[in-house]
Amino acid sequence: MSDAPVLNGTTKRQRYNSLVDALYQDVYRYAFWLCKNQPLAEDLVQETFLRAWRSFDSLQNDKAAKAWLFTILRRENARLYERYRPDLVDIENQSLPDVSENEPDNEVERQMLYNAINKLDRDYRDPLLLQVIGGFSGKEIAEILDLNNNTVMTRLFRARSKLKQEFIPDNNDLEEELNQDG
Amino acid sequence: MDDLEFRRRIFADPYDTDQALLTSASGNPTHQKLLDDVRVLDGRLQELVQSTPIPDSLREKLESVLDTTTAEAIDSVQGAPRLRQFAIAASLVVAAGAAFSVFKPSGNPTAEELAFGQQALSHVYTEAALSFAGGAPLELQQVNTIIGELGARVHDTDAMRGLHISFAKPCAVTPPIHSAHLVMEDEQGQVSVILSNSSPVSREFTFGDNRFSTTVIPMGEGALILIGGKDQSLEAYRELFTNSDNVEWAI
Repeated sequence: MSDAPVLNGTTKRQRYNSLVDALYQDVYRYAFWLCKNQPLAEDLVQETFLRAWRSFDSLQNDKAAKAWLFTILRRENARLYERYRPDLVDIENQSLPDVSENEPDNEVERQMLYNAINKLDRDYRDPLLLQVIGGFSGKEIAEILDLNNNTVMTRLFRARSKLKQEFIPDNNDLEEELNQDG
Repeated sequence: MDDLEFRRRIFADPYDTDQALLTSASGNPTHQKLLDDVRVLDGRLQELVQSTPIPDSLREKLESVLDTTTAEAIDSVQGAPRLRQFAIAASLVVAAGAAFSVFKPSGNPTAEELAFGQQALSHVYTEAALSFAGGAPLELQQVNTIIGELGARVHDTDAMRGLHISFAKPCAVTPPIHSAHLVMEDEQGQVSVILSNSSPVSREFTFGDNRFSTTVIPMGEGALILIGGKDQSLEAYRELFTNSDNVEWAI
């Protein structure tokens, strides 16, 4: 049971607003990378924060808020979209969100990286996005994905290995190494 | 540190500050080059995800959705005493649970029933992320303070005293429906028991995903929802919470 004082409406709302201000952009970025669709991502973020508000009294430690929100978002994405619209995303036809200030060469490279990330197996992409967007530690990612820490670290290793092989190839036998790892 | 270990560590976390890792990089040009390359790649990744455009109106929308929800919550709170009076007047107690089961329709749940169950499961996912496990067991009196709002009360029986109830709080599985959420701990993990005084459910059904198993049991106008790990047995909790020796519930 919580020992925290019961917040009155104003204080609770203020605390919640501070949380939203601090985290909504990261939550949206993660939502976008999960579903690759701006309107869906917006809906997901709204649903996520709505659920967070309804359970807000349970949040005893604000430091845990980000992982909590990302977990809610993942769950809502699975509940609302993955189950019912599995074919929504066609990777080959996906375009990077428009960022007009980039030089054409940069834009090509960014699009290639975007495609490469989306072509990663989901098992590898999920922890990578949580680390890069959320800044989570391996332990936090393990809790969000309900995996053990070693599995998460292995998947992060493989995700970056595959990306590096594509963008910064070297002479190491990475693929062979990966295959040996099973 | 050997090459493979070094590679594994920096690919998993290019900004790992472990001293052994950094020493290995500074003492080995090949390692240092690899670390630099991986950090370059990571910089590109960071730049790419951080450049995801945030819709201008999103912050405003989050505010307006909350305003709407808060208004609904106020409405539901104002309506709650009337609901409770009606519920208590009905004076059905959970002892009638067996009778309910006789008349419940069979077959698959409707979309509405399934959606209700899904809402409960989503609620548990939300709460589970807060890691309420590991707390000291609550006294039954504390639990009664929480669930008394729903007209429910647990009795001081051996079976109930034997439970490790680590969490109890009012919740709103599907607002504005008022519910109480209890979390029990046993050797198999956690089980959530949600008592809801109102539900669209008229038949018992079970569903699950790759993490949780959920059983929804209609109880008069309300529902008892049991959610445990996907391989966890819920039968003991079903028997406990549908037995009027243990739980009294005006619905």
